[in-house]
Amino acid sequence: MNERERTNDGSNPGGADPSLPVGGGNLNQLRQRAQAFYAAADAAIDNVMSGDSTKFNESARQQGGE
Amino acid sequence: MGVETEYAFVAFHRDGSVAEARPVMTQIERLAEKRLPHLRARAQRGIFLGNGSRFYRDFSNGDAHQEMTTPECPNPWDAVRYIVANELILLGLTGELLREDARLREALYFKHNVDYSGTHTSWGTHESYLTRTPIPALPEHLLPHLASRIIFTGAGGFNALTSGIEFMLSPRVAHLTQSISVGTEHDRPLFNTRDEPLAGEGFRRLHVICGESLSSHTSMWLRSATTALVVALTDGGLKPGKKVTLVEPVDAMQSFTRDPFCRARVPLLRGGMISAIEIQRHYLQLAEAHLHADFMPPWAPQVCQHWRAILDRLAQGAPESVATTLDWAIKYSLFTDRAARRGLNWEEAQRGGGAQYEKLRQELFEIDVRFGQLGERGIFAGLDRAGVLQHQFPGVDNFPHAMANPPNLGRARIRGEVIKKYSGREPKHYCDWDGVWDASGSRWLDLSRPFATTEEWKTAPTPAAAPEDTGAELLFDRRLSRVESLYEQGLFEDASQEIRNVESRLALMPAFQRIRLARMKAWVQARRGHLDGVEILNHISDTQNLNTGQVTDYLLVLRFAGLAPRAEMEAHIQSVLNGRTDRDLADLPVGFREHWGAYLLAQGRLNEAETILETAVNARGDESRVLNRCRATLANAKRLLGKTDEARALLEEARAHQRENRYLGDLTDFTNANLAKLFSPTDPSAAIILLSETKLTQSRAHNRLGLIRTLLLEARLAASSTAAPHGNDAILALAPEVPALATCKLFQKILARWESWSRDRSVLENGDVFWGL
Repeated sequence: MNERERTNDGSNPGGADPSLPVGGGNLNQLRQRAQAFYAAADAAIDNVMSGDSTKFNESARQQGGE
Repeated sequence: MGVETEYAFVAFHRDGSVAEARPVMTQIERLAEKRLPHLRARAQRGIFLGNGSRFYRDFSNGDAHQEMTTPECPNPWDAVRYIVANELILLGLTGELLREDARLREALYFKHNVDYSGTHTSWGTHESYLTRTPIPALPEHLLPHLASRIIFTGAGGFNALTSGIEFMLSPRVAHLTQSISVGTEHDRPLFNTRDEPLAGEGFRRLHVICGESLSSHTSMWLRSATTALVVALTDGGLKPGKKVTLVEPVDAMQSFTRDPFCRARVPLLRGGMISAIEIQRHYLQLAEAHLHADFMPPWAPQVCQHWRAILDRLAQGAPESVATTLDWAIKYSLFTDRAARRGLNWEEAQRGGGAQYEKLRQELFEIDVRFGQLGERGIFAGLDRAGVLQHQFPGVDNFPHAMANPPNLGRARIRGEVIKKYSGREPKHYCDWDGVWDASGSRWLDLSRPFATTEEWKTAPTPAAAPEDTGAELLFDRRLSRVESLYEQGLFEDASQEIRNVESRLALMPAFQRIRLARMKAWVQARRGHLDGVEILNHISDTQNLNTGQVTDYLLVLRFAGLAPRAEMEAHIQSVLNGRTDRDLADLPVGFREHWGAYLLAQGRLNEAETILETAVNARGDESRVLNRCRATLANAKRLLGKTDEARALLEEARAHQRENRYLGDLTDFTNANLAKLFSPTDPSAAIILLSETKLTQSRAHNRLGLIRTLLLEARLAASSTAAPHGNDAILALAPEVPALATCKLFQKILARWESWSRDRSVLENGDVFWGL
């Protein structure tokens, strides 16, 4: 196996479209997308937040030691 | 290529209190061993899984993080696929844990990259890339790429080293202090020069440690794909970094990370200024010019297509243009929106000030942590489920298959198949990245060739190794856990014996375990009343540059190896406190604050001690050994301040937890002693009974120093009552076996004035362990 082959796994993993901009469309469509994003963000945040962020951030502390 | 991801972990009890992380992580590891096909790692920590990955715990920095490392992946699609598959494995394990352990309500893994509680801790993701180029020749060509790629690989978050709200495309950048270094935990560099190939045939492994844990598949894919191409260009001899060499790569990264508009320009060594997008375009154009060269992977054209697209989008108007695709930009939208809802525009929020500001700051930190919470309740997962993100990447799929099976190429495929074949079977086998070993010592599977295609077992080149030796880490891990358990139970003599047993095999012990052993030896020696604790710690520490955890070890030794805290504690405490603000002080570890409070108490500075200890007790809700000792010490301060009800509540709480968890050393030596002092004025018989029980436990445990303390306390309490004065025969009989007492001034004073000390009722306690002197 040569250098070139070494990174080819034989499959065709990415018959992919490029990461094209998603910002196309008219102003109304853009506004609707933004509204949908923030509505989903609200729901996701409300669903998981602790209600006491200071306490939560303390709880999530990552350190040890006797 | 491969990716190792460190996960933050928190577990909550059903009552909402925080569970001590380490035992829960151990439970998860045991479950992984029970449920998943695996082989134990041979010379490293953890286990290798049937999909070719490694699951283990990184013990740097005390508590440690669990990590999942993907198998060696032949392309960036697989790299992302195995990261996601391994996270699904972790979720399966935590789900099973919660079904098994009724005490737990939640066990959560997070993908944020910095700690927001003030510990200045950072963790993240390390990447590995196969290369033919000698490691020292790589930085020149990689540094500009690593510094500028954060415009699409940044996790987004906040500078955790300031008291403000400072958004960063890549929050770990605040923790990078130099361009090039071999270190990974302290003085973290942008480019890590570790030369540990884990392979033969002249291959080397580039180890990138400045990356972050991500959620967006596009961000993850671009991170691996573009970096692999830059390495390929370097391997091809094209010197891709030459025209974009930066004057100060770390400074440049500091500029890029603070600019969500991606317009910041930084100086080039050859003169002129350049933006992150322009640096990336330079690399991209070079890759596009050599798409079909032998040294380029076959998927290079697809990488360049996506690479160009994301750079175009960033140039089009970041952050909005990538606000549903890249981690940092998605978070930026969430953060700015949240500030607006709190009545602050983003500029005002970053300027700070006032209670409203601090509340917002904490809320934003929690959003960052919760964003990458594994499982359906994570914010990123919620957004993805709602269909408002454009992060998924065509071809990154088939996760269930990747949870159980290795990639279909190279040594990872062979490793995964062998693991599945020999998991749970005799003779045992042990695994590493570059081989699999039959524990009987008769044969081994050579996986040093990264592109091996067949399973070729060889006769072992050395005499058969005993299973204990091949599983050295596992063996020592169990022995060290036993030492710790004995220490917790107050069986200090047994712990000392066990340490001696382990030390007889020290040559076989991995270095990180030797440090753990030495720390525990110092603790045990102090509690036995021996004076060599400081010397032991000096051997494993850079004494001119101690971190807070190391200082805490010294405080323990200086406090416990005698009757009262030693004066040398002062300098150690000040070394940590110097230059810290009040806010920083509140973020110090519980262990440090407990020793600090005890020292203040011994100085008679009761109000200061109460304040420090109170913040420590309220800092976190788990039921660790240290927290309960902290409760007992705070209770002593409260008692001396006349707050007896509060003192009693604290002591009863500590006692309950210590009995439940069998933290009998601290229960007898501190909690019971303080409770007896509390009982003494109003209920002396209860105090006497309590001390009798305590003596019995200490005597059975051969806890001589603890027993001497209890006998002294008993004598002193008798002086305050109508009981007959105590003699000191028992103390004198025990003292020769406690060397620290020979140099303990307090002890010598007590003995010299025994008659008056044990009879005089008029002397008052001033906060010292044994008052009146």
